[in-house]
Amino acid sequence: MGMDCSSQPETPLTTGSEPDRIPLLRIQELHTQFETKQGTVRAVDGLSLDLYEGEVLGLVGESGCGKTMTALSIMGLLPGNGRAVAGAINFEGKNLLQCSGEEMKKIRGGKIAMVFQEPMTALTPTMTIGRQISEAMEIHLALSREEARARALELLEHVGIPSPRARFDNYIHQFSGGMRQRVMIAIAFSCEPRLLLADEPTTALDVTVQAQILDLIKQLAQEAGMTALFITHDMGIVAGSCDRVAVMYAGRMVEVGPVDDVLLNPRHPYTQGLLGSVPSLESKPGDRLYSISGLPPDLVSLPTGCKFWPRCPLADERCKEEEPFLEQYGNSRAACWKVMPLREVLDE
Amino acid sequence: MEEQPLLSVRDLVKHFRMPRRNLLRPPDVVRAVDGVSFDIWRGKTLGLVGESGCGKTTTGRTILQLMRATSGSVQFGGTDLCQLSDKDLRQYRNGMQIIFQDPYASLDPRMTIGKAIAEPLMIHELSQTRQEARERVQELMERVGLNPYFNNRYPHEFSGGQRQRIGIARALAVDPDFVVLDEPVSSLDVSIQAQILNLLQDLQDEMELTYLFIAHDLRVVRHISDRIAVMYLGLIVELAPGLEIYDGPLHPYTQALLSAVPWTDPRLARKHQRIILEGEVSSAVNPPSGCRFHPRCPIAETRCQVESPELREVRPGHWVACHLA
Repeated sequence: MGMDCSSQPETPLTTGSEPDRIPLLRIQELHTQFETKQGTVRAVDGLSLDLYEGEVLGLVGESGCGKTMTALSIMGLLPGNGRAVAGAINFEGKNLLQCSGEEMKKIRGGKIAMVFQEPMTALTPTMTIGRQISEAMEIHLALSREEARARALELLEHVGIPSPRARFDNYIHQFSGGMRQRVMIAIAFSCEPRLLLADEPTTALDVTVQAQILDLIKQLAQEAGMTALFITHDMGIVAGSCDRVAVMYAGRMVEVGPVDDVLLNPRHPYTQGLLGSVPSLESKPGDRLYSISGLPPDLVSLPTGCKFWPRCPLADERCKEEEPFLEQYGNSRAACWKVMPLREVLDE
Repeated sequence: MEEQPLLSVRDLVKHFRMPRRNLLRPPDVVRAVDGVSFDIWRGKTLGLVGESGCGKTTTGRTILQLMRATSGSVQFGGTDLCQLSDKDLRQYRNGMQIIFQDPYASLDPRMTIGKAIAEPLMIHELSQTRQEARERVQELMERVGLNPYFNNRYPHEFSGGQRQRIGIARALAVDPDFVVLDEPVSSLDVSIQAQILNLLQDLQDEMELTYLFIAHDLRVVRHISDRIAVMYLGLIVELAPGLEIYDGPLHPYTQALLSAVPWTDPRLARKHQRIILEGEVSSAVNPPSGCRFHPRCPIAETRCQVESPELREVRPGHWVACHLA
């Protein structure tokens, strides 16, 4: 590796499906690992991903696939025993992995903001929500206390908190689940970040509130021309909220492309399985769902070859030995030796 | 439907008293379930949907008499369970089982799963000898897709999906007729969720099980239910055959719920006009007057604020509680 903090991102490797622009964020060969008693957990295992200015990218996968650890690697917020051991995350001409703690503090909450799944654990219970919003702006935007307060009130109103003046001095436990998420969104948007990371922002919410929050994030991001990485396990949220989607399995990307291409014409057997597992409006009640057999692999001892082969109905000897790489198919890219035969099967 | 339903719930009410906050005032009462009626026929599934706090879980538990109802009746195979003493209830208990959302919280961490599955057999004296119990446990584990070889392991050694299989094996051990499934797949990953849903369907076919399937995910409910009941603040607002609700929801709340379902087809997501409801569910301590949905209802009239709508049959088998439907 050995690149310094200001190394320039290389020219994009692929064009075509990806917007023909310079990425705002470029993740290259990221390896994030955890040292545990059982051994080294390879949470992110060679992930490369570009995020283009103004797009909303969905990062999808099941628990343990490394999607949250990717976001925490970007933020420099990995838990104690976790470390990004190799790779680079380039953002505005800086490799975030090489940045000092001080530099990251300036970026975090300023240029890059994050919305977490559980506002109760992400926000401070002993500080009024007004203070929590103003604090970020006083630090990152160098606003005075009064200016920050005025802007915080505006923000609270904008994210749909009723009577913001009265709510300004409330604590987080005094809010309902949906309102807490609105507060966190207000904090995330307060410093007008260029990049928003949203980690399962609506998983803990009811469906009608989920729809409210997704629309709010989309609307705010559009207004501000913001780039967003949407982490979710739900393909339905991707369908409604994202421009492109990247599917992760066992710490690496198995498929990436525009939402319509990936969701309507999935190439990778894992993506097909994920989509088939969710009942759709077309499926007949009572039909068997397509289900992926088995369990995700143990991240301490990953299988050889393609990491998905033990669960893949199409796997053969080659899949067990050789690791597939991302190849272009139409508008999307997939890492699978079996993509072509699969399409033939579907065409028949 | 000619046949007698296996389960008939009538005017079921469950109120909870809150701790008294002020000595001069009566304690607050949470009206969790406030007059719910429905039938479930043998071998069928009723899906019960609604958002958190609508009373769906309380309904399930009150039916099983895990909580005693404030009023109303639960006819199960011709007997009103609400009238039975705890002692008399025991003989009915093995006819009805429950599968919980979080199988980890419902399993004893210090009991091997073999013992956990055998426990109901022992309690209900369904196995005479240890050998018999062991064989039954083995059979149950195989049936739910667990390797019987692992019967000496502890719950923490299993994944979420496998733990849910243990929970299912345990519930089926006593050969029940009726099973309440309380969000059985909500905490599972999608691929595992599909495995469990398929298993539940296979078991229903094989054992002629009757399900009350409680869930908030309308995609899952559509897939597994014959009929669907939508709850809002302790009341059923719409009850109809599964596909009919999805094709033509009549209650404005059902319409909003369905429009918020994140279908995985991006074309559908774009086409669908989402009905975004204002605000959040009102409190079940002081539910709104008239129709409980009126403060959030996009089409509410003055009448809705005063008069509470009855659940009425607008088409054969399609019930709705709305003045304007």
